[in-house]
Amino acid sequence: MREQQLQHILRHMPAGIGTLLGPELRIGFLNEAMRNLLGGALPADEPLAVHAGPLTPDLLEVMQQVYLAGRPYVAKAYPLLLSGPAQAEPNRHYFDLTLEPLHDEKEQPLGLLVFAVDVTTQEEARQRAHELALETRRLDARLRVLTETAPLITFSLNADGQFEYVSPQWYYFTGQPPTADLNVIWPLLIHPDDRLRVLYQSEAARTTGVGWNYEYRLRRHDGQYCWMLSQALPELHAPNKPVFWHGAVTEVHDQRELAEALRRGEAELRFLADSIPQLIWTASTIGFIEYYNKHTAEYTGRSGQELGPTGWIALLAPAEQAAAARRWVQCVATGQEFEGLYQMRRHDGQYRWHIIRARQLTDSNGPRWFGACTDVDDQHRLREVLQTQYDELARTNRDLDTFVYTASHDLKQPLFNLRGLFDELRRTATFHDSEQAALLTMVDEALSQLDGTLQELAATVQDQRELAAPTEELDLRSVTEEVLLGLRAQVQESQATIDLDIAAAPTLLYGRANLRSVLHNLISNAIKFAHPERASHVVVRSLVADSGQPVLVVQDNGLGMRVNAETEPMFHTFERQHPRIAGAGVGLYLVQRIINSRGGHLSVSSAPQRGTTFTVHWFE
Amino acid sequence: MNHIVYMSRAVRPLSDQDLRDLLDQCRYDNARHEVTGILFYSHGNIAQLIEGAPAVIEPLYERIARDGRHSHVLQLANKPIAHRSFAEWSMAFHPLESESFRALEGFLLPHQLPPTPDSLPIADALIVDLVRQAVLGAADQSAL
Ligand SMILES: Cc1cc2nc3c(=O)[nH]c(=O)nc-3n(C[C@H](O)[C@H](O)[C@H](O)COP(=O)(O)O)c2cc1C
Repeated sequence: MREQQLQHILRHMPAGIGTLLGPELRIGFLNEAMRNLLGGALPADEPLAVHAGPLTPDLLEVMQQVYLAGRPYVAKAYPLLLSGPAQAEPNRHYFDLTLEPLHDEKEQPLGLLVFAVDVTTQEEARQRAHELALETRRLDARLRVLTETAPLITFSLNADGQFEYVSPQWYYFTGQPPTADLNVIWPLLIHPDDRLRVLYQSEAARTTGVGWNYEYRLRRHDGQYCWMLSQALPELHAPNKPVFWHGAVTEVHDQRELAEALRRGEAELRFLADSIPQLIWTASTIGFIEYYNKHTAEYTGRSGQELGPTGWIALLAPAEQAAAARRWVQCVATGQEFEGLYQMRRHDGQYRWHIIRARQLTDSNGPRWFGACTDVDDQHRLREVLQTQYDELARTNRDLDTFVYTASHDLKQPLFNLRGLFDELRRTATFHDSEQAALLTMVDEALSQLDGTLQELAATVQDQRELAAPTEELDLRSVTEEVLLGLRAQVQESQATIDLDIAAAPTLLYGRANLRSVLHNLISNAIKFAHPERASHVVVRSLVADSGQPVLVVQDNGLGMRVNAETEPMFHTFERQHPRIAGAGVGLYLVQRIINSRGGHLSVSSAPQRGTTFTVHWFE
Repeated sequence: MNHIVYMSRAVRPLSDQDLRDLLDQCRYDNARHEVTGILFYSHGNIAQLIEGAPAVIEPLYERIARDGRHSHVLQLANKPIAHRSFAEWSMAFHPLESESFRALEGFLLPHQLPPTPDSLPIADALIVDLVRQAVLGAADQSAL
């Protein structure tokens, strides 16, 4: 009964059990599992080698050895190819094979007990674990290469904030020896101005269990402090229970400096623009205003928001808007500078003159327009006032000329009548008193003088009008001869000799009427003021002065006059040097006016009783 | 009555078919909602002016701004106007095959564009002139 039970148990054991008998290892008892392993029920008493099935020669050989040696052997995870039920692909199974020698009572070898436990699942799991381990090691190696060659410092901190790992780059960067105590040294290498902040921030992040992200300056091996970006994340093993922080430190010095410089530059620019009492603005490449300075808002009474990208155009005087807008569009298209004088409305509604200028400049953000509007209203108004005054003066002058001309003209007729009446009186009336006769002469003289004055006044105005006449190349000789022809009567009367010496500068670029006036007045003056005791001799000379400019000299041997040497002689209208000689003194005034208006001047030298020399400097 | 002007960039260049679809869709919808205006397109650059009742064009602009066909939508004007400056809604662009577009309602070749209407306030006319120049280029402008 017991035997039977045992047989039953053995037969259905989930492990293969079999006995092999004798040195040939003949097949003995095989339980079901063992039969499955060997590929079916094998005939008993036949040597196993004949029905080896999946058993390898190698294994059969070892069985022989175990039988002979009489010592048990265990083969762990021995692979056997078992053919599956459907004759499909043979399956690899793993068995722990125990080979146990069997002995009889006299310790003689009897055979082998084979015990096979299928460990395929365990073995496969083990192999997978092994492969994973290999893979992990490979990944690990790769990670290591990466962390140790990438241009950043990587680190791991434990929950206490102590460094567990730092990549070699830290040592390269800081120049510290590999023996350096990281926990002590690292904080010391942080810029003193940043240290407290960094220590506080990392401490705060660790106590709250979060990551961090901050920048600070770290001392490089050469002593220079460089801006670094430190980023770290916690590794959580249980929720809210970080065990490690892993992170990286990257050098961001250049970006930071650049950004800082840009920000500073832009901020400085803005500050300047905002402090200037001028309207300053910038516009995009395509012409939309992006920034107006503070003063613009104060001046126009409108914020940049209200003005919008093109609002400035509506601030101009309505008549100027369309042309200014066209010009702006054109400048934006071509990149040409925008410049113009425009009337722009102030917050109080007053239009004031502005010079608006804008120029396209390219900075790191690409091309942009920079513009300024300068209030030039006060200057502009001043100029306008001056212009108005000038115009008024010119008009007054013209009116005066006209008045003088008309007056002299209008007075001519009554004078003419007066002379007629007087002649009539002289013809018909008889005077017995010689003093009365002298009175007649005096009235006659006075009338002649009045006539002369009127004529000269008319001539002044006439010549004044000719001042603006065009210039031409004039032959001095022919003009002088023309003038002398007009003075023929006076020349004959005074028996004057006139010498012409003009070879040095025979021509002159001047207004014809002006030249005639100058010659006429100077020559007639010279004759008029002749010395009563000697014949008049007048020399007219044309020459080129040291300055290279032409000069006219009219010299006489007449009465001469006193010249105030200190002050430049001024010849005013109606100023008379010799009250006893006819003439209104208008002549010299006229000459001087002509010469001055054409950019020259008149000078005089004279000695009483000896003669006078007038020098005309045509041009300065 | 309000008008809105914006500029944007197409996410990818619009094909003739894309432009035609847009033209058809917008012409139909805009006519229905009494929206008038003009759209310029060239080489991925877009600018548009729309006029209409604020209750219509405000949400329309919101929809357009969210449209996935373009991005970088920049509003340049959004304000009340006294009256419309455009009689209808049209589009101006250079199709690759202009022949098939020639007869389409509401389509204009850039050189056929009339000058910016005088009825626009000067600052807004300047916006339209500048966006037109930025989108279609200065050459077409001078050809007017
Ligand atoms: C550049 C551009 C311009 C557009 N213009 C208009 C327009 O003027 N009117 C319009 O109804 N839809 C316009 N759309 C289409 C709208 O974005 C949207 O597709 C349309 O209003 C339908 O919206 P729904 O599908 O939400 O109804 C435009 C789209 C793009 C990309």
